[in-house]
Amino acid sequence: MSGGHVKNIDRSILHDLDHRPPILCLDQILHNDSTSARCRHTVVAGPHVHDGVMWEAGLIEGMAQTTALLKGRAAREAGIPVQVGMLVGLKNLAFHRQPTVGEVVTFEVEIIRSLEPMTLVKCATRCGDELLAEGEMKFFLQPMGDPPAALSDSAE
Amino acid sequence: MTPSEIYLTIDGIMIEEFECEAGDLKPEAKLGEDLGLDSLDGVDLVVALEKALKCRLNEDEVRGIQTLGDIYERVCARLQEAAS
Repeated sequence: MSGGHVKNIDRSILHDLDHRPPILCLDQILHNDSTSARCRHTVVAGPHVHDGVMWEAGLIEGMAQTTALLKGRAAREAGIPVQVGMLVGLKNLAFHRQPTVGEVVTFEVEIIRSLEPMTLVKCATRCGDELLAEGEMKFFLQPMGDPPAALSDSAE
Repeated sequence: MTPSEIYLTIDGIMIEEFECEAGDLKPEAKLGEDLGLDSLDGVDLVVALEKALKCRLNEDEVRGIQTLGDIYERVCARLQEAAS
C-alpha cells in the first residue's frame, strides 16, 4: 500500500520531509510561503484511521507535518540547516468532526511567533469549507549538530 | 500607559495565562523558580505581552529575562521607545 501511495504524493513533499507513508499524511502542497502553508490529503486507511475515521492524533500529525514542511522549506531557502522539530505543546485545540476515509482534508498552519528555539503556530484542518479542527501548536526546533534533547529536564 | 498600568497588565497576563498567584507577583520573583514557568512558556509569554501591550519585543529584549521585574523593565523600555 505504501509504495502505491507514494506515487500520488507531490515529489517536493517527499524531498522536503523525511516522513513516508503510512505515517506521512500530506499529498499535495496547495500554498507555501515564509509564514504559512496549506497541504491537502485524502484520508486513507492506515495508522491515523480508526473505525473508518481519521482520529485526533492523525489530524494533529497532519498539521505538524505541514508545519515541518513550512519550517524546512524556509530554512532551505535561507540557506541555513534544517532543524529537527518536536511538537511540545497543544493549546486550545478543538476537534469538531473527524473526517472519514475517502474525504479530502486540508491542513493549514500559520506562524504566530518564533522565538528561538520555539515556534508557535495557528493550525486548522478543513474539509472543503467545513472546519474540522483548530488550535495552536508549539514546536521546539533543535539546531542541527546538537545531541538529541532529553525528554525531561535533568534534576538540578 | 503609565508604568503602573503596564505592571498591572503584565500581572494580569501572569495570572490568567500562567495561573500564577497574585501574591507571588513581586519584581524579584524568578520566572522559573518562583512562578513556575519553564522554557516552553517563553514564546507564549512574549505573544501574550505583545498582544496585550500592542508592542513587538525582539529577541535581544527577551533574552536574559529572569525575573518579573525584568519583564516590567523591558516592556516599559520598549513602550517608551515606541512612544518617542
